[in-house]
Amino acid sequence: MLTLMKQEYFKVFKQNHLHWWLLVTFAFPIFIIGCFPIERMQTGILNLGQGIIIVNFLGIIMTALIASQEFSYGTIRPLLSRRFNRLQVFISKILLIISVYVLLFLADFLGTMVAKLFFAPSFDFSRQYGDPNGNGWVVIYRTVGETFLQMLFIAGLVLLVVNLVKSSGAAIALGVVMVYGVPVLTALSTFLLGQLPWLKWGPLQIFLGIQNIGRLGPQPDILYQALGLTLEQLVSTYVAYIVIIYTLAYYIFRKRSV
Amino acid sequence: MALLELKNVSKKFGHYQAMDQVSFNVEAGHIVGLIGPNGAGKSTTMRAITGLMSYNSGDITFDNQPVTFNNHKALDKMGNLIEYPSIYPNLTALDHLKLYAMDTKEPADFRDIMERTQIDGENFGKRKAKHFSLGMKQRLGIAIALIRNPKLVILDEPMNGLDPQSVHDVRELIQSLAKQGVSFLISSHLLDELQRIADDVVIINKGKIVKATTMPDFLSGDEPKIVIETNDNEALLKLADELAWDAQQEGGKVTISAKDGLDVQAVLGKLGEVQIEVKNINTQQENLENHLLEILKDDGQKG
Repeated sequence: MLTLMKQEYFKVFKQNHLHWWLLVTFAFPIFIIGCFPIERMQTGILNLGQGIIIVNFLGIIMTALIASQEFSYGTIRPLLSRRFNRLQVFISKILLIISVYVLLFLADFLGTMVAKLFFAPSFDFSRQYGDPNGNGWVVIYRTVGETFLQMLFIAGLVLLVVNLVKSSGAAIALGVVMVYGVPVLTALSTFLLGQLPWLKWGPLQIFLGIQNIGRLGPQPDILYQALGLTLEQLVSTYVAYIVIIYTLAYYIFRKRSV
Repeated sequence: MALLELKNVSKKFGHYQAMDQVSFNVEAGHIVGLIGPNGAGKSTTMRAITGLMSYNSGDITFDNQPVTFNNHKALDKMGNLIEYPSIYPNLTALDHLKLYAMDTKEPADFRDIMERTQIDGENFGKRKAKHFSLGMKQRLGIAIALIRNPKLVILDEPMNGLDPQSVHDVRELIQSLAKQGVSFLISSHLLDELQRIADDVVIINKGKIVKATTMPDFLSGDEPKIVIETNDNEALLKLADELAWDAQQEGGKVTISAKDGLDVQAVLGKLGEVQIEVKNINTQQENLENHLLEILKDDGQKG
C-alpha cells in the first residue's frame, strides 16, 4: 500500500500539478482578506477567507481527475496488472483523495492565518462569534468538519459516476451541482418533503441536512422541525449513505473491463 | 517446468466464447509469437495472463505461482504492453520509468533502458510525453515493460507506429534480452518480424488454440515455390500434371512446387522443351503468413 501511495502522490504532483492548486488555495484567502476590508471580520476569517469555495471546487476537480485519468490515458491497465489487486488500488485512490482534501484545507487555513497576521492582527479567535457553543476556533473546526463530510459524500458520488461513465466531465458537473446548486436543491427538497414525508430519508435530503447542520445543529429542536430528523439520525444515515456509495463505486470498479 | 503455463483456460462474455480451453506454455528465455486474426482471442488471452480479467475455468501459472483476477503476487516479475502504450501526458520518459520502478526493489538501470529502447536521455528524458510521436510512445511503453527486470514480457503489437529503424532496434533488443533469459509473449500482425525472432508459435482462432509448436517445426517441410507467367499457362498446367508438380493458377500466374524441390534452371529447361515462352519467373519461400492462412483456412472449413 505504501508503494501505491508513493506512486499516487508522484502522479498527483507531476501529472496534476497539485502544488499549483495548493498555492492558489493558499493565496486565495490572502487576496480576499487583503483586498476586501469587510472580510477582515468574523464572516471572512472564520470562513477561512471564503477559501472553502475554492477547496470545494478544486476538491471535486481533483477527485474527478484522480479517478478518471487512469481510464482516459489507458494507464488503468499497467495500474491493475501489477502485484496489487483492485481493492488495494481503489483504497489507495480514496486515501489520496482524502489526503488531497486535507492538504487543500491546510493551505486555505495557512493562507487565512497569514492574512490575519498582516491584515487583521487584532482578530481574536478565543472570542465567541454568535455561536453559543464555542469560540472562533470551534466555528472554524465545525466549518471544516462539515465541509469535509460533504466532500466525502460528493467524492463518493464522483467516483461512482467516473466508474460508470469513465468521464471526468460528467463527474465534475455532478459535483458542482451538489456544491453550488444547494439553493435550488433546498427549494426542491422542501417542496418534495411537503408532498412525500418519507423522502426525508432520501440521500438528497440527508445531504442537505448535513450542509445545514452548522446553522441548525446547535439547536436540535430547530433541526428536527426543519428536517424531521434528530442530529443522531441525520449523521448515522449520512454515514450509511457514504458507505453504500463507496461500496457501490468499488463494486463497479471491480467489474469494470479494462 | 515452463515459466508461464496456461491449462484449459476458458472465458465467456455472455454467450460469446472468447477463450475455449486455451493451453500453451512459454519456456524461460523463449520468444513466443501469439498469432491469429482480429478477434481471435489474443488480447483476451493476454489480459487473462496479466490479471486484468477473470476467467471461468482453467489455470494460469507464472513462475510457479497462480495468476488470477484476485491473485497478482506473481505479476511482480512480468512486464507488459497491451494494445497501446499507457502514458501520462505531463510526465517525461524518465518520470515514467521512475514511477514504475517504485514497484520493485531492483529496477533496471534507467540510463541503460533508455539507451536500449532509443529513448534519448537528453531529449525524451526531459520532454513531456504529450509531445511524443506514436513511435516514441511505443518505445516508452516497451521501456516501461522492461523497467522491473521482468522474467516475462507480454507485448501486444509492439512494432505499432515504429519506423523501420525502430523496428530493427526493438527486434534486436528483444533478441538480446531473450539471450539473457527473459521470455517474451508477443502478438503482432507483422508476421515477417515474428518469423525472424520467435522461437515458438501459438496460433489462436475463435478463442481456441489451433496449433502450438516451435517455429522450425511450424515451417518445416517448406519447399521453395516458383511463380511463373507464360504465354500459355494451360500448357504449363498440363506439363506440371505430367511431371507430378503441384501447380496452382491464380490470375495470370502459375505457382509450382514439388516434394523433392524444384530448380529454376531445370524448370526453364523443361518449359523450353515444350516451347512455352516464359514472361516472368520468381522463387517464393514459404513463410509464416502462408502457413497461418492455410491453417486458418483449414480451421474455418472444420468449424
